[in-house]
Amino acid sequence: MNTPQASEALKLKFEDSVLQITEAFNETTVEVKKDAIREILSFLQTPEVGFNLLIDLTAVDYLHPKVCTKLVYWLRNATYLHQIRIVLYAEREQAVPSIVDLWPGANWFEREVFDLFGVNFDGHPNLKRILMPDDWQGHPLRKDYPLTEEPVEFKHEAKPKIPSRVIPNVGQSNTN
Amino acid sequence: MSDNLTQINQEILGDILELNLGPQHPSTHGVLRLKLRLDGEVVISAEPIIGYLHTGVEKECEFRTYHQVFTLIDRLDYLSGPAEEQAFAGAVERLMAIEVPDRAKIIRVILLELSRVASHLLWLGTSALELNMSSVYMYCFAEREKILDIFEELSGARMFPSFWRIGGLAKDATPLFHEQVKEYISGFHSTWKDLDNLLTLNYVWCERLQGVAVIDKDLSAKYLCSGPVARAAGINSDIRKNYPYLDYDTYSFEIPTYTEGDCYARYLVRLFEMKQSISLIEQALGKLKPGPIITDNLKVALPPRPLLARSMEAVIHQFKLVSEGMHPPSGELYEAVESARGELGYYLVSDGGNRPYRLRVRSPSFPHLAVLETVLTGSLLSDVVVAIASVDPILGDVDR
Repeated sequence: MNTPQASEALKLKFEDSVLQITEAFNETTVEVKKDAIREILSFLQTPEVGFNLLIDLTAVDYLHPKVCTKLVYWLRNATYLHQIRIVLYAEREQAVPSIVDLWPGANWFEREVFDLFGVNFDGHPNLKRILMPDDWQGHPLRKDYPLTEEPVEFKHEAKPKIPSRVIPNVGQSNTN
Repeated sequence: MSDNLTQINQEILGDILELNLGPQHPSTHGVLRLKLRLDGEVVISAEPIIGYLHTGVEKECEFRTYHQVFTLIDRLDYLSGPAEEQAFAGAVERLMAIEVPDRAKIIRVILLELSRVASHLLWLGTSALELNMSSVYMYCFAEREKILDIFEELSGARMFPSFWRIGGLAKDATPLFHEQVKEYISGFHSTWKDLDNLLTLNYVWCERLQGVAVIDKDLSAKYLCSGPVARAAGINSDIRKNYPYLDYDTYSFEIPTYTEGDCYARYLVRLFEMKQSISLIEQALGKLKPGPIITDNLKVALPPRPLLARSMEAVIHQFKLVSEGMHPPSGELYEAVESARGELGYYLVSDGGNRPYRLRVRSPSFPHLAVLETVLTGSLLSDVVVAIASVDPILGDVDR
């Protein structure tokens, strides 16, 4: 199936779970409910639908209008070269079903999202930090996590000329 | 179950050796650490551990204006910076619907393909060095040096040209650049033949590579593999053909594809890709015509220097661009390019501000390392090094 057909099929088959379908920049985004993600992705993966390639799994964090994390699944149909983006919103501390059994390669991608965004994946075999050190506090890509400079250690009682600081996020327009 | 029991027994008896390969080991191509559990020479399990080069570039990019991002992303995949720049510039250009002038597109293609050749040469040289073939290493590095010289001549920087601007290029290419590239491609064919003669039928090379670390079609799709790894497994996919950017559809080139999926197939894919890249550069040089190299949209590109003396408007545009940057419309999109390692995707989310709200780098090396966990199980310790090299991971790109 190509993207319009697939999004139509999704709308018919999962009418309760598909919240919104948007078109922008020649890309189709389907917003779905969190709990239905596994059924929807395994439906898209079937040979009849043919979106069998998971290209990317990532997340975007939002503070406004609601504190939540958007998970983004980017799928591709290798035959038609059509692509579709499935998104879902998860609130903080809410677990999202893991898709490692559908695509074993999603393992590291989910670990990365857990590491940087703090999203818990239900049913993930080995959910631990992957990029940050194991004892790290916090999840750096959340929007309320400040960008800080690492303090530089000086020897022989030398003082740094400019002390380390938190870099303010000036100009980020998402404060309305 | 009985397998499990013997394994536990072995562990109690101390027959299983736990070995950390890396993070500081020359054969891991960076700071990759592999936790190996060995039964004699056989690998029972291998766990790649990454993150030693995590620099938080994605976070940093959220605090920089769109023009400042180029310097950061260049350093992710430090062997093919131009691919990263093209992916980001392409994403912003699509977001703002900017038309890039033809000359800029062609010079971009030349730089992208040159960097692909440079990256493959470095990969080939270091892989051969690991198998103790230091002469191949010398040939490859001598050839790569010439490409870096071209980059230096053009932009002043050897590894990271930082030549991309949103809507075009930073500078125009000089006639000298044209000459240098021409000279390079005329000399490349003999080097390519040398490399081919040295390796392709070389007994040691074939024995060490054939049948090692097989990533087949199925595994490749399940583990999100792309680029040479997928093409060596028989998946005929290339972003340049499937989702053409920079008018790649107007060039004629082939995608080398093999079906074995082993290290040798990946070697062949990269070797023949270099030849295709050179042919692409040849075609691009033929198309190169004088013309503008950056869009004339002053909301995006800096005004030409002479205009600043005459036009107040140009001065205002210059001031706004330098001090505040530009404001693309809000939206999200995914732009992929074919880097030397595979599909490099940039997922850009803009909220209408002067900085990216979120910039996700889908790096090709990341899933290629994840697949090693499966592939290495049951292989010999001496093949581990070959297997790591054959997927060509760049740890700056993996860890971001």
